[in-house]
Amino acid sequence: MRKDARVYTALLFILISVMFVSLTDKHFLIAAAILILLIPIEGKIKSNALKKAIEALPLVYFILAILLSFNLFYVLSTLLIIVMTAKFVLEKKAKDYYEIFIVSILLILLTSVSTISINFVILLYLFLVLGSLMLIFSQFKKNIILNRKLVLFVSAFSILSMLFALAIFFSIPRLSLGYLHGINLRASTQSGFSKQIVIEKGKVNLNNQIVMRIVAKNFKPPLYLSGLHYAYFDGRKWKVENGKQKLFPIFQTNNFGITSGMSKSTIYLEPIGSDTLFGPEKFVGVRGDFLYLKTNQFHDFFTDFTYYKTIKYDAFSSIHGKTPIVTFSITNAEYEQYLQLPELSEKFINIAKTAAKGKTKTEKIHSIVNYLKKHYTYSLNPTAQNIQDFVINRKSGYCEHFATALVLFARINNIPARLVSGFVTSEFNPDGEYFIVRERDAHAWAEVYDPKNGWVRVDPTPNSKTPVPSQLSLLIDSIRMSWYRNVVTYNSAKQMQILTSVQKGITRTGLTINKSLELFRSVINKWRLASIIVTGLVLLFILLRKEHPYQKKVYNKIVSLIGNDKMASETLVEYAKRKGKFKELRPLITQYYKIRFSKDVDFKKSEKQLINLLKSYSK
Amino acid sequence: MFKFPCKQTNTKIKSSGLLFFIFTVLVGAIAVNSGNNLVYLTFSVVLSFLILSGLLSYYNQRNIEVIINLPDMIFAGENTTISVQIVNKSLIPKFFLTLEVLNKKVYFEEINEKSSRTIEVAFKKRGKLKINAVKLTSTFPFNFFTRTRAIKIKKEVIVFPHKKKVFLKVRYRNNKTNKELNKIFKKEHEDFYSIRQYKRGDNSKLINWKASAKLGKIMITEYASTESNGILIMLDNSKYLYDKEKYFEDAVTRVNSLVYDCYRTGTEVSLISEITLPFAKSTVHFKSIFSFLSTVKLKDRLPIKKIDSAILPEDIEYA
Repeated sequence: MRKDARVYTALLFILISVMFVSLTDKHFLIAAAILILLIPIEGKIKSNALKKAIEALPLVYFILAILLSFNLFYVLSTLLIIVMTAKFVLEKKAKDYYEIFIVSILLILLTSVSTISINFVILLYLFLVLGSLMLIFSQFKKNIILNRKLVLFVSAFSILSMLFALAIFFSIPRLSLGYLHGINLRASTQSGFSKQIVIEKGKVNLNNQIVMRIVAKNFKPPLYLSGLHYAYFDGRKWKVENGKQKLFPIFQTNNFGITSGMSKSTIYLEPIGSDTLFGPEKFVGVRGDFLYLKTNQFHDFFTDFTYYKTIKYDAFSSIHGKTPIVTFSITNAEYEQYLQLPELSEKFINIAKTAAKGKTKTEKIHSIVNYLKKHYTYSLNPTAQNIQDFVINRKSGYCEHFATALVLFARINNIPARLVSGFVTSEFNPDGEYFIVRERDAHAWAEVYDPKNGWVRVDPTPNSKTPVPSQLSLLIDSIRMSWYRNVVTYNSAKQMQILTSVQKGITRTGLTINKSLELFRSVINKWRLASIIVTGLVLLFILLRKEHPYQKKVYNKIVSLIGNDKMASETLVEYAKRKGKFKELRPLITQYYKIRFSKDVDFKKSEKQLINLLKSYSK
Repeated sequence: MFKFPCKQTNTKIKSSGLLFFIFTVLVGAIAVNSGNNLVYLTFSVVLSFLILSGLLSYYNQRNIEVIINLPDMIFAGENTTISVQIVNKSLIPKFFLTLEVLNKKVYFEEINEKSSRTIEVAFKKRGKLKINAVKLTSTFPFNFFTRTRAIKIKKEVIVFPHKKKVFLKVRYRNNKTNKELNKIFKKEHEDFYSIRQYKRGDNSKLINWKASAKLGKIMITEYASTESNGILIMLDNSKYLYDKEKYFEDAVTRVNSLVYDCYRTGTEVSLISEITLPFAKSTVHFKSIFSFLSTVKLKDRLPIKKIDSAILPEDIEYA
């Protein structure tokens, strides 16, 4: 038997539902493949025992999955897919299509808390199209014939529905009574950023995954985004100072360390499975939807939880142009901390001293940077076992090797220095006017302390070649950025902003109307007589336009042709009959009635005929 | 005269709709609680789905015209085929409409421009019936609601009295034997007179189809004896003649049955009651008699003087 259109619609609808969860984990696409393989047996299972077994399948799976303690997201997603598949395979009634629809919404809900992909909205639109079709088809009693009108109708409905949904989305009040952090499913394991900085042998893979987008108008490339600062190095790894001190928003404005004149940049940070916040250098303040933040002795910022969804915040930097607004002076104890050295060989110390030529601290630092860039090469596959091996023997490494070497060289030469990890990017998307930061942009550099200017960035790593993104990829990314800006991170503040602009727009329109009216009034006052004449003419024109010439004039003419004693209740025919003139005037009266009451008439032609008749009678 | 009720629009939420509504509220609650914009987006889509389904349901029943076509003659107690037509005046097709006319339901799955169905209705009583409205019910688009809308129409149905098989009792009337009388209304047209063109008002039973086909215009057969073979029927509706109303109803049925036989056989009939309808045999004449019989009621007045040549209800026997 040929399959009905409703079966195929249901199949496509379930496939779309599966694709929703596959946004979180692509392995779910296997379920879609299984579903397609099941098409031949759809509706053909006749055995009652088999039917019961298929119906019981979701329950059996659920019990087993719970007993085996699978991840709840996977358990629920798989359960819902099994329910839909079982409904699809068995013979379906209208009720079953409806149940498939409800299950699909549950699946979308599950996905919505575990993804931020722009594909979500595309799938949501397809869900609307296919869902509407499926629910309408399920009510057909006969075989469905897809006609153009029906398809157009459903398309129009789904477009209208999506537009309406977007209107609801943007206008619905954002209360944010709770805060769902998202499910830890997308936490990247290949992130270029890691809190732990260990100098050891091992290959580093460059990953093009975007981790951050930054709208930073006051900054020029290369843009350095600091995340963590390190002071203590044990010879192998840098000690991580996690956030311990809690920072609460003052007067609930969610401002952390912000003073006037700072440079603001808006950051859309993808979930990278970390709690570290990043900001352009001299990153000293944050504003965002956080319950609280944590900080450490280096003024690094940490969220109250590990974020698993895109977060948006404003980062404030204490630098405007080139002048720092806030400089952090260090105490004597801290001074000592930034001179800390691990156990180092004589040879290492000699190299450090040789590298630092010059009298002043600045000269020495410049000399060290030049030395490192001259004698050492950049490699993503370093063979050095540790920092001494890198400096003395291998002389090949990546940013962490170079930055660590510089800090140690500076400290050996009695210059306080520290290591900074974060990102550095030069990739700017002109379409959306924002910087793009990828995983491969993870970077480490050094900061040396200058009593005048505070901490000054020193990057000793030789430049590595970075691929230039294509125009198309930049365009696609700007669409994605727009999705993050306007949908994923849409909040009450943005809503207020829109409302205010709408209000302003209305006020502006009102003022324009008012101004125009004022102008009109002043013109009227100035040219009073002319205005009265113009108004009179306009009114006359309107009145004349409303009245058809033949309606009154012709009527009166016909009446005068019949006689002069017409009663108000009489029609023209009755009056003509009473006066014995009906036979004589019949063509004229008939023609008048034709124009007056008939709908299907060529008015111009008939009017001409009537006027001619009237003329002939008048003669 | 009895009227059909004309109820206003009525929307009932179905269990599927109720579940969907609860579900929407739940998604909304999750959105508010989570602050997750994708849940908000899901909620917006679900809500728009629900609101637009209500709007679609409304527009599915707008711009619709219902046309009811009734047969020329409707007799009480007989199955009558009524044709109902829905005309869609909009460009958008209409779906899943159930039309309720005279307590009978008829389903229209899809209407692009217009669609017709027939229903069988049996009217219990004779009389005038006014159809003020028809009910239009639909579950479109998603079976969440059942929306019922009354469409006002003005249609008057005249239900003629019951008709049964009858014959005349044996007795003399106006020098005619019963055999002669029965022969008259059974119309055994043995006396052929001529064939002429059909005129308005002629009995359609007398159409000569063979001649019509030959000449390309409607012809009827005339019989020589038609002038003299009329039947005079008398139905007195004075309430003093009938102990109970049901006896009067029975008298009406008997007279109506005899008149129908005459109509069928093309016999001239004259009816004397509170009005007098002269001898004639045209369809219009018979319709006038049927219409009168369908509305005639007992009157508080003295009985009419019996005419000897007239056939009375008691002269008519059920076969």
